[in-house]
Amino acid sequence: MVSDLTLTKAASGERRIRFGLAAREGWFAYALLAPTLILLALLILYPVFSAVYISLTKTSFINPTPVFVGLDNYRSVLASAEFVQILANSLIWTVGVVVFQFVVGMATALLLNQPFVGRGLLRALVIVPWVMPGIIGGILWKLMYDPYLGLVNAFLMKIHVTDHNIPWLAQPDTVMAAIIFAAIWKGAPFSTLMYLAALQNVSSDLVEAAHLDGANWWQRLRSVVLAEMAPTIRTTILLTTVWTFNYFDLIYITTRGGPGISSHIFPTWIYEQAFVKIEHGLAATYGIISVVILLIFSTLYLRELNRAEVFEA
Amino acid sequence: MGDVITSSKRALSRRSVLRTAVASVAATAATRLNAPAATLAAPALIFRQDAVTIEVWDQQQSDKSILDAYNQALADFQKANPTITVKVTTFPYAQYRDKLLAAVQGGAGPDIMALDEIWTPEFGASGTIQPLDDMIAASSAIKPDLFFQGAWDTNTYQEKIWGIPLNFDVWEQLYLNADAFTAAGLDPENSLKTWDDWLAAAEKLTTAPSQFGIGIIGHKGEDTVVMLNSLMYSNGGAVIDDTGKVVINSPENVETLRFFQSLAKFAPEGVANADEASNAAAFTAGQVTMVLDGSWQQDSFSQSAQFEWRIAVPPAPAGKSFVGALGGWNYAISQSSEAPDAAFKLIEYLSTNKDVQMTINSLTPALKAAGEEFTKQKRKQPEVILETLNSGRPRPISSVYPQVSSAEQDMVQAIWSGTSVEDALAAAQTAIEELVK
Repeated sequence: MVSDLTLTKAASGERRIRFGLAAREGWFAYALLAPTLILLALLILYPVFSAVYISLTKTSFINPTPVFVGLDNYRSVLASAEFVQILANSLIWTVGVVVFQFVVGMATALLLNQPFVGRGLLRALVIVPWVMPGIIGGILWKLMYDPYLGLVNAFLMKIHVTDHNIPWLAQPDTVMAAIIFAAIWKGAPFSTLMYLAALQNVSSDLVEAAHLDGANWWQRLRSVVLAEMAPTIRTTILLTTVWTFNYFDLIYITTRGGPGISSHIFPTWIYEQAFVKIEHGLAATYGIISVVILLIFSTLYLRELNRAEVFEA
Repeated sequence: MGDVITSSKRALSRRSVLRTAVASVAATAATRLNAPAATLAAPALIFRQDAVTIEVWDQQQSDKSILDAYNQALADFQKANPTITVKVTTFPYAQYRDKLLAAVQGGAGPDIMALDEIWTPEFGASGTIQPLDDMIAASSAIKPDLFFQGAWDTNTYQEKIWGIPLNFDVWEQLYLNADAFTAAGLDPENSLKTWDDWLAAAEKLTTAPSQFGIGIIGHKGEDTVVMLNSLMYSNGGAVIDDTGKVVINSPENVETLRFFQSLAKFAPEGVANADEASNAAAFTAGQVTMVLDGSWQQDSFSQSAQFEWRIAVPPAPAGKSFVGALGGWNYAISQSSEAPDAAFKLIEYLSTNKDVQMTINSLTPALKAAGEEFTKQKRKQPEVILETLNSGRPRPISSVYPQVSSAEQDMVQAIWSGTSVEDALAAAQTAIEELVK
């Protein structure tokens, strides 16, 4: 008869063997993952930590040796009037572009989802602004907004909205609206494409059932169509928010952030610090702050959507 | 400067050793594959032992004839110097500075870099280019008095010479729509001498919104600064004086900026976002009747303007003379170049060979002999251009010039936004003092 002690010893040995096997498997798994993890660390973490470190230093082209200054850069940036204006500009710009890009993109998608002659051609043409390089788009809109030679004023005068040559890009009170409009023109086709693709997957049976239940057009759109499109809408808004917040070329080409700093947002301001003033520490500080703002927004946005189940499919 | 062999030996580097090793392997392989060819290849192999490759970075030229001339000049140089291979990379101007900064700060970059003259002190101070004093002293080809004074001066910083001027030009000459002048009863050849004359003419020529007296560059950009500096210099003002003291907030500059504001009343709306290109387009379209621009615009105005145009030395305040701010390009040698002597030899060739200078430049050649002939051959009213070239002054020669310029741009933008001239100048004074201290 086998004693309890022997059994205990045997069980203990088995556990050790199992543990040993598991440990070996674990290490083997880590070994297999190691190249990927190292590559990710090099590609993502190193630049991030490097940027954080630079933001804690004072360094420039003519004084390239970094001098550690702790949080001085953050203190001076957060206390500056420029930061407040850049932050306000960035928020107005991002909200303005994202909201109207959603509205225009959705409206265009709904229109292009209707059967009509030439729909295929229009669907192809509608993406032209989006595929156009940002620099070309910027030059185009700079010409369009020319007070005397541009099409915008010519059109507005033609329909008697104004009788004078508005310098859209040269006035602090019109510049932001002007570039937001240009950005909507440039970015809305992406939203259109995404929503058009999502519309193809909305069940016509569901829409028909809602119709039979007495739902009107708006109710069918809100409670059936948009609900069905929820995952796409959520993703598209998040993507367009991040892209818009990080926009550069269109603004820099049309206004260089002017007049004054009326149209500077984080990326254009960071570029000026990094490549015009060559203040690496300040540029990195603004960069880190802008990433933090974006992370906070993205996290809150996703959490709110998930909690409220607003767009849950 | 030694001869070819000496300079090449001095420049023998890891790169050239590696290249020679590769050539040796290739030659050995060729010997085995084709024995008779080996005897022919051997002398060439020995000859190539001292070979160096010079990398040149420059801004892109859109004019094909200049590009062709540049390639031909390089081919001729390499033929005369078979141990030196030249590799040129060009970038559009808008991207060039960013690419260059990224490269040199990373310890890379070319052997020779074309530098906008306003960058030269900055690159010198950063230690990314090397002083050329010893090479110039030993050179039989490069002598300072062969070049226009204003162009040469842009290379001197902290008593060292950091580059050799390739070309330059003055901002500004005054371009006039002669037809509009005549129609307004003004003499396009001799009506503007003083700033008062200028304002009166601008007013007379303005019949808004169809026609404006003047196009003003006022956006956030270097073209605004260089135009404003010309006006400041012409009124006896400056930004930084010869001793390095910041003097932008001076009575002369207050007067200049007030004049600038007055002149802008006769410019099209949107001065705060108007750049050189939009002003040139407005002039060509007949919308503005005067613009300040460099002689390089003559090519496009000749092609596009459907009216008679002329140039004039811009007016100055009564009793003073116009002094334009200079612009242009210098060649500098990277601190990390492994073949500085060969690089200097190429710079010597490109900057002092009159025939080459005549053909590879879109701006006026900095070499006096070539510059004068170039202007007489290729420009309308060359006497006007030469007068402004000879009296022109560089923009502030400072290691923080881009930041100084940025402060000036902020000052101009503030004025357009309603800040008083006095307050804007005081703010610029404080900002620039902070930068140069």
